[in-house]
Amino acid sequence: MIRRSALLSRLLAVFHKQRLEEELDDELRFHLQMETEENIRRGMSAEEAHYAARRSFGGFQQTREIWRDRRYLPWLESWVKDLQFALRSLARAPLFTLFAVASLALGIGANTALFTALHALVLRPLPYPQPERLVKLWETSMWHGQAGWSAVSVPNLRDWREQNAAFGRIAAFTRGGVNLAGRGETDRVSAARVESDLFPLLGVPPALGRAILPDENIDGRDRVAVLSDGLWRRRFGADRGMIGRTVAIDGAAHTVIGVMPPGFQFPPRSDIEIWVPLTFNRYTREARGSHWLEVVGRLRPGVAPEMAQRNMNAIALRIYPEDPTHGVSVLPLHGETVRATAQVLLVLFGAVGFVLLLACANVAHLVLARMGAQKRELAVRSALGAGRWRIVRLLLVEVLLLGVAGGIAGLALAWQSLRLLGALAGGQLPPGAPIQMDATVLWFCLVVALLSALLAGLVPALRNSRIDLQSAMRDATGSADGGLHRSFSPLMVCESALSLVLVVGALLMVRSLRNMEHLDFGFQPDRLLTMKVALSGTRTARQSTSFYERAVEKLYAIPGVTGAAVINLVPVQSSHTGSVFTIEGRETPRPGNEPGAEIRAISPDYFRTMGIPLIAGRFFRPGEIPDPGSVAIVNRCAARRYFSGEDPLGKRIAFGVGDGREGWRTIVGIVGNVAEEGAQSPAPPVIYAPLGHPVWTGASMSLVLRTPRDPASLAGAVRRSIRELEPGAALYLVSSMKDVVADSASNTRLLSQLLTLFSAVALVLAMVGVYGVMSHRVSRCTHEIGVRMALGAERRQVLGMVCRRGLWNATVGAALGLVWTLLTSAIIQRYVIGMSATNIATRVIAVAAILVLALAASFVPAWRASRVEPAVALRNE
Amino acid sequence: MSTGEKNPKTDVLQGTLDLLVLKTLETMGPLHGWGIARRIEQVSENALFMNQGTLYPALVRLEQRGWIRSKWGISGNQRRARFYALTANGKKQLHAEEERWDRISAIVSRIRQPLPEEGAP
Repeated sequence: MIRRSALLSRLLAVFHKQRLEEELDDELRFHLQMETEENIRRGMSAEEAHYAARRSFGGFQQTREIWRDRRYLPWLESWVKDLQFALRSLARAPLFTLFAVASLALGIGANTALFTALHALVLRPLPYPQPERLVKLWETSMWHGQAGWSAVSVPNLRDWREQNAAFGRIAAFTRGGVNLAGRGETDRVSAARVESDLFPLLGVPPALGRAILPDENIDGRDRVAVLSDGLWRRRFGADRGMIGRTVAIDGAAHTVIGVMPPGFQFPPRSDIEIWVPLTFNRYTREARGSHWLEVVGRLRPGVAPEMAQRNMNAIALRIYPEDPTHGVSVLPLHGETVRATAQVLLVLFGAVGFVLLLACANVAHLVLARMGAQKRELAVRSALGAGRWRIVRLLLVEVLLLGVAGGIAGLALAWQSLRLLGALAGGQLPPGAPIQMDATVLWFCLVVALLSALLAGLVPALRNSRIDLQSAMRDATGSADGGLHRSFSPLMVCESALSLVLVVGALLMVRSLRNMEHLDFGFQPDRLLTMKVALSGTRTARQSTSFYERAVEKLYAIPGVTGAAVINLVPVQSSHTGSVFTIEGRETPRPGNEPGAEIRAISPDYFRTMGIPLIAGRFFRPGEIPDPGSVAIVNRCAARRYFSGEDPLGKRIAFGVGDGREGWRTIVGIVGNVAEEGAQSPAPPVIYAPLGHPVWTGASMSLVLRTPRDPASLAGAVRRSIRELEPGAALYLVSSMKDVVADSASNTRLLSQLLTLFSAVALVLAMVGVYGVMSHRVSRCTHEIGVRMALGAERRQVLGMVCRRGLWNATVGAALGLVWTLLTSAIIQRYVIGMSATNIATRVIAVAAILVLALAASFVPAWRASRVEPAVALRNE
Repeated sequence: MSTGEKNPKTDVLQGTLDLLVLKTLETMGPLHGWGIARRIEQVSENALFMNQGTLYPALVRLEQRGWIRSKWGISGNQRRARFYALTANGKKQLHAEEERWDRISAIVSRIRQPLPEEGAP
């Protein structure tokens, strides 16, 4: 054990080595002189005395060595020496160093950047105390023959709350938007309606003021609002006097009662900035079939999610004794929040992981190649007594140095690319989660850098530490490992396999994006403008309908508008109503197996404006009322699924089932399918009803406008028209339908851009790698080539031999890569549009690309090999 | 040393070198390396052999631990020599070592010679 002061003294000693050594020599010399004089005093001759002294002294040099071990830190010193050696030898090969560091920097940088995103968006715990105890609750049941989950109804929530033993608290909320009136324009702000239990459940009190009280969850007392820190600063100048003041939310005065602390989010990773009390009315309080609430719960201490799950399933069974398919799913809130983001990031992580492996393989190549050149030097060291570990260590220090340099460069690269990622991902990333580097990211970067260095260096180091002294000293150009005919190169195979996988991924994404352009959404997304309009205050369906009818009329007056219509939910944005209905004259289906459909309330011009084709029957006529007894139109999917073999026209259906059933309405038309939930999901069955139905006509509806011009140019005029009609209306989500369609594939777009980037990087790395291996091989086999040519091989044959070798390895690698892409196709299918993830053409192109690149990369070395002059090669030993 | 070849010599016992050096410095005051070696050999009547390869590294170690300190000075025959002296910490260490040595040697001798009190009636 070395004490600290001693350690320090030894450490410091390294810095004045020369003085210390001189002093030691003086001291030892003094010792010798004293000894000699003593011997002379004993009667020896001067010479005799001197030799006797030397003899009794023992090894001068040995004493010095032992003293040195004591005086300094020999192990540290030898590392320092290795470091100096490595630095010198890297400096002597600047190209090698540059390329190795650049390779590693690319790999490490991409991984660090992605880890930063993963850390910020997925891994970071939710910003509440004990976030692991928070769960999300959904109702589960069979829904027209399929297992599904749904939001929660008020009576069920009440039963859960009264009967459960698993949760400290449970609280319901809904998301939405509100019109926040301020100076000038009315803003649309994301808002949540929440039960008062939510804030204590989360465990986060407001920074200012108070949270919502239980009696504020009652109609009439609910005119209070809690603001986010961001909104409070942005809209109200961080005025502490805001507490107690009123603001106009949806046209009604609400008292600001609290401001949440900075960084608070609920729901997590959302952009919600206002929390107002959730209230239930007489109808919703009793409507068990009306599923509209999201519910979170905090598990009691000691209760595992599985226990809660069993507890809740038992309650569901008590609620629906006649239908055992009902249950409750209890899922960790964190997992629920980040699932979609995590899926995309994990696919990307696979890609950057491959890039890093490629970089490592490349560096391993380079190190191996260089070691061939260093063989003589290492052999000399070995001959002078350096042990195997000493030599391995020398090489490891070198790759670790490369790794550290690559890590630093990679960190800088990651820093830069985070901006790029932010720009590429845009609205795709969850809002309000800043992507920042922190200590965890730095550790990750360091660990990745060191591991990559070890990975890249260990194999060459171990291989080269077994140096056959004799042969290495004799000639540096020996073809010890195989010569030209030794055709298998594991590193080359790996590189080809890894790059093939990336290329296939990138091709799939790029083609998916191209497919998107030509994909049939069931309507014409070109030259279509869409926006949401929200009226302030509460309106009856009749009032809303009359407003929207007048709005459509006014919109037709805008020059350039050739079609205008209203609908409750615009296609592709993947929101749904998930309703059940009854078909006249059919047997009552078992609970959970009722026919289901999406329900859309539309104005008469909707199909014409969207360009949705009529298949049979007719469109709605102006003036047709939405009331029971009226009409309905079904899409092709609903017609096929529920009226197979029959003509749906003239049949009667009713919204709801059992006691909740409305009056009958007659089917008057069949229209084409529309990709309601985006390109990746099949079209669901849809039933259209005329605008004005009380459930599906609200204060907030969507407008669609057809124009021969640029749709964006209409936005201003539309806004003015709506404002003239209703000054307090908010217009939001104004975009061309083309952008809506594009946004629905934003995951695919993000993946296609990043995978293209990564696979380009991978190809460059692989190509340089193959080039490196082949050049190295050729240069080591100059002698062999010379012999072959001297024996009559033609230049063409040599060229072919080297190229074949490159191609052979690339082929084996590509085959392995293909197997990998087939095994993992299920993961990527989610992002592939308009084709299968196992698509053959994609693979053919990718394999061709890899082979061409391998050929190109081997050609230059092969050509060089074919230029070898036999006479020169044979003489040049 | 010519006498060395006649008498079998014992190398300094592992772990006792510290004690010997510290004790020598305590009795003799500041002393150079050769002086320490000579002194130990003399006191042991040439029975102990001080290997230089052990002595100088040991001096470095003792100095690193703060038990002795060194200074260059002029020796009795007017040569420049490095003198070692005991520090306060070294003194403490010496006493601890002495105690330990006494204890161990007492134990060892007790084991080697059956105690007369026990054997006698």
